[in-house]
Amino acid sequence: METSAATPTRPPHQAATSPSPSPSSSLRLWRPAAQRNMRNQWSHLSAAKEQWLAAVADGRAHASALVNVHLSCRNMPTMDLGVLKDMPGIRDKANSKLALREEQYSGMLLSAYKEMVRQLSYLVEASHSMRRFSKAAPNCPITQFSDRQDNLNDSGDGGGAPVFKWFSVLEFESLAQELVQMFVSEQKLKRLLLLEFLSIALKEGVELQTSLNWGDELYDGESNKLQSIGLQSGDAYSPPENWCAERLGSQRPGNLPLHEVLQVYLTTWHANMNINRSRIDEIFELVEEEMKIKLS
Amino acid sequence: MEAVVRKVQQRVRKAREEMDQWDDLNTRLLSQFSNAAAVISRLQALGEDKNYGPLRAVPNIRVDLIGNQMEVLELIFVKIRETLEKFNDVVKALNKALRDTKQMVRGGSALTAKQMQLQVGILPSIAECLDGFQTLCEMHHDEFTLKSSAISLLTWKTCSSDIAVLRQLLVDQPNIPKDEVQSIFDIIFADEIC
Repeated sequence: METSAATPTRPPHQAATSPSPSPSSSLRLWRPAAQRNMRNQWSHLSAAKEQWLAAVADGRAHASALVNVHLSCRNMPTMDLGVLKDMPGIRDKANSKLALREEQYSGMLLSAYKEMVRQLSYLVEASHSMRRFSKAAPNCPITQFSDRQDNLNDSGDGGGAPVFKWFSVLEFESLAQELVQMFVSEQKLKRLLLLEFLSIALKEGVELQTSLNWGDELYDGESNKLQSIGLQSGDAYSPPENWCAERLGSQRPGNLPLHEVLQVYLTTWHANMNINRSRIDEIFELVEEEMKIKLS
Repeated sequence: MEAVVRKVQQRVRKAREEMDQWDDLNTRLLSQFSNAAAVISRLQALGEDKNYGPLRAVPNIRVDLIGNQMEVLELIFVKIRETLEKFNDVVKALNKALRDTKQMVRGGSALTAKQMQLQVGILPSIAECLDGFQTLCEMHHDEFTLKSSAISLLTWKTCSSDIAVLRQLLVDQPNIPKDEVQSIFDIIFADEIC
């Protein structure tokens, strides 16, 4: 399966005469390594995509729990407690209990987000690791391949040759890029929602800061992580360019979002609007067909 | 005569298995209905720009979200129609069973009206069995018609009070009163009760 003979897409004599940076013999050696790597990276993409979606689903459960607790907290002063109303300090006790739960749920929501960032980083990483470079080892007669570019003339794509049957490395990369782009856009939208969800919990607390801003780091190391996957350049995480910056800060501090607003947030979280499931399935089907393997 | 009654009972027993699916289907229908109702009840809030807070920074968010929810709703409607089709299958199966049973009774030696009414011991008469069977079929048929029209009234524009009424109709199943169904079975299977 992995020998080049199984995929005779370019006759050796033709490759030998062309001024390609990968002569036929090295292409023959490159292909099995490239195929193995390509399968690995796409199975990473497949796994990370599933995990990311699972983290979103967890996040959704925590966010709606948080919203429910928040609303009962807010309704506490007017809530009819029936016979309980005569118990001393009952409302205060209930309130502090609810506030504690609010804190727990926002912590869980934040962990779900952290997991999403982590899975997104795997997605980005895999999409950037599709090339195989030959390893410069002058003393070793066996050609080896790695993910690091040693020679500037080696672009790691086998000179644009098909890796399996039809697709070149570049084509695999652009499919992966299309996939990653959906998750990146959705992740940004989720982060905006997360700011709002975490802010409602903050408003109950004693902290001086009453709302979170886009530029805030939401957990230790978020900034580093986002930088490492190329989502953030420099110290500040700037909002996507096509977003309207003035509206981003349009929430008035101290003003609690209405029930309808929270409903919009939850629906937006759940909808995964930037994730085009049918296109994703299509991409994976294409790739599986090309590689002749099943990824999930 | 007794043999004919036994055969009719046998047919009704088989038809009863079809009817047993009805409640499962209704549970499914109710859950699909609730899903649709949840989406519909959100739509109003999603339609108003002021409910988006800082999300308004994201271009086209409102239009995209509503479009997405309409798609979700459409998918639920497709599932609901599938469930309705299954109800219809049950109705059709019951009607066919009734027709076949009548055929069977008529196909034997021609029975006089008196023989039809004849009651042997605690066994029901053939006429009683057929009448009961017919009533059961009509109940399910009418209930299917009611469900279909209730569902056709459910659209993205239906207000929440109407949704509550429709839901109650689906829960109540007014054309299939449980006690009446039971008393029909009690008559047809009178000999098995004691």
